[in-house]
Amino acid sequence: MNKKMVQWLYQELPELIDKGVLPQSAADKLREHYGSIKSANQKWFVIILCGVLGALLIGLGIILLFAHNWEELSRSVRAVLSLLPLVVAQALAMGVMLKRPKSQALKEGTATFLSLMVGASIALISQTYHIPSDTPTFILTWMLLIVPLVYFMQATIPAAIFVVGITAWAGHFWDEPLKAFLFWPLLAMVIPHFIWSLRQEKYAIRSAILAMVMAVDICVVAGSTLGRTWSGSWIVIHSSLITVFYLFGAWEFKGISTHWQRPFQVLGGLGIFIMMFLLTFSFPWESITGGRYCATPETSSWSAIPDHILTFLLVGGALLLFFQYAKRQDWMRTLFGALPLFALIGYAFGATSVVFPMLLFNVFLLSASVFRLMIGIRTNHLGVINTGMLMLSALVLARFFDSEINFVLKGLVFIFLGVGFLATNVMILRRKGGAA
Amino acid sequence: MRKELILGLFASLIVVQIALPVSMIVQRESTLKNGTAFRFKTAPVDPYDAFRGRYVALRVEVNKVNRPQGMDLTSGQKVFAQLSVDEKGYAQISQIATQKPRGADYLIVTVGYSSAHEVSLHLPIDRYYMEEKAAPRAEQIYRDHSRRDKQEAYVIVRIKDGFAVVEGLYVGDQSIEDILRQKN
Repeated sequence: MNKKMVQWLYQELPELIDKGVLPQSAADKLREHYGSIKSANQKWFVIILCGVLGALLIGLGIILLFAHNWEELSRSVRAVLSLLPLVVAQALAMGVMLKRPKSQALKEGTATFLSLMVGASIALISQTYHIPSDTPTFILTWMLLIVPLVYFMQATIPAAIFVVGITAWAGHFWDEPLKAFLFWPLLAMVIPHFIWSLRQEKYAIRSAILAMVMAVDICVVAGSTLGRTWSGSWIVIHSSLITVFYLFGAWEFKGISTHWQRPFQVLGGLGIFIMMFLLTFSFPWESITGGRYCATPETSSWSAIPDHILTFLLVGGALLLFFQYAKRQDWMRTLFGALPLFALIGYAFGATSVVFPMLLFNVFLLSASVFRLMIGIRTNHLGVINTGMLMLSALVLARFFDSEINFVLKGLVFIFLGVGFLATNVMILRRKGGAA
Repeated sequence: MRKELILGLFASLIVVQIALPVSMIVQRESTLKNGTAFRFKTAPVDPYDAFRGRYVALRVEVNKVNRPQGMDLTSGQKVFAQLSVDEKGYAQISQIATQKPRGADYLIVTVGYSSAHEVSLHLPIDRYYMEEKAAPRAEQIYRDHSRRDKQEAYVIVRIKDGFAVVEGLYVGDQSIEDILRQKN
């Protein structure tokens, strides 16, 4: 049950008892059933935020100071000075581990500081000795040296730094998918921490930050590492990816009750709408045969196997989640989660006909937005009504300005839709009238 | 027990974190101390690529070599470039090999593109870091001089066991730092 609702219930209880709606014993039983609600501690948030921000600012300040490249100092002095911030950060982290192992704020702060200083000291030495540029190796070395901190110090910000780092690393190999593919096993290194942090009350904000960073970065890297061999397969891959985000993000985790704590769900939901909308146009389906996303010899040989395996896992995972939600009869999420299924059908027919998948997605987006609108009206939830309206208006506007469809057909479809809406309206009103 | 294990592992992490930068320093210092000094003549760099703020972008002039017959080369492959010195005292690449040359100084380089007769090489000498205000001015002086034939720009590089460390950037036999100091 949602924590906010329990909070509301507890607020109501005294009044209900006073008015004699509930006997005291029933109220006690309710309290016993739901247990005490621990509100996310505001003080904790401020302490950890200050610690991390302080560490970040000092760390960046030190990097800037050294970037000045003090020429007056001799080379050996500069070399020793390059190590100094690292040694200080290590001493701080070790001190916290020995003396204050229970302090979340100190651990998070010193781990963040140490993460930055590892990179700083390697960069400073590179500068002192004019070491030739090799950005990918530098980033990967740095990231591998800091990732154990995530587990030793139970720190989430270094995990976020790590995810950003490996994304930048993979970005260097956009034309070498096999190398960039290593992003996925690297990412897996922080997943246990992420899942653990989702279950910790005090990590709510931090796990949300990590989730946000992961959601964005996964989308970025998926674009360059997956579906390189089959042109147009991005339709199925990206549909599955955002559906996994959406359905996984909507999963019940202990202590998560607000939207901002679910970046996967929010970004996934937004992504699903954007994807549905894009697929109502012809250009994605033309890309299947157009060869815009050409296969290269390197990516069509055995080296594409990891790409294929992950693609199948991703599509399979999305479909599995879809069936799970269907089993729970959560129809709204099931309908939105059906995106990969429709994408697969569209992809199967896309090579022979562009019109069929386009039509399929127009109907899909139309039914999804109408369904959302109706659920919103039924539950009296303004947010749901508004997003349903937004989806519907986007579809209507896009089709109205579409130059590819002739006016007569467009006119007929619009009139048909308008009549449908009026009829629904009348039906709802009648039913309401009947109920009253 | 678990706490001790974590602390032990954490201590080893700290050792690894510090060992890497220390080993970087030691390897370079040892090369600078014991390596053979070579003068590499430098060529002008595309100005769009050059202004990077804190360093002078360098391009070594000797970056092509005749392709040895029957040698299979792919882009990105590491090869051994055997070094010699020409009559003016500048370093030359006499040949490349896939085996470590014996009794001669060599540099480990990366193959760029290769045609039937010629191979282009990426040398691990591409930047010279300077103080942030000095770097753009040094870049200007360097470009002016490496374009003209009168005064030549070169870098002194120490090389040991195929590993190179840039020691200094010179324009017309004066270090870039000295030139900047005189101009002030």
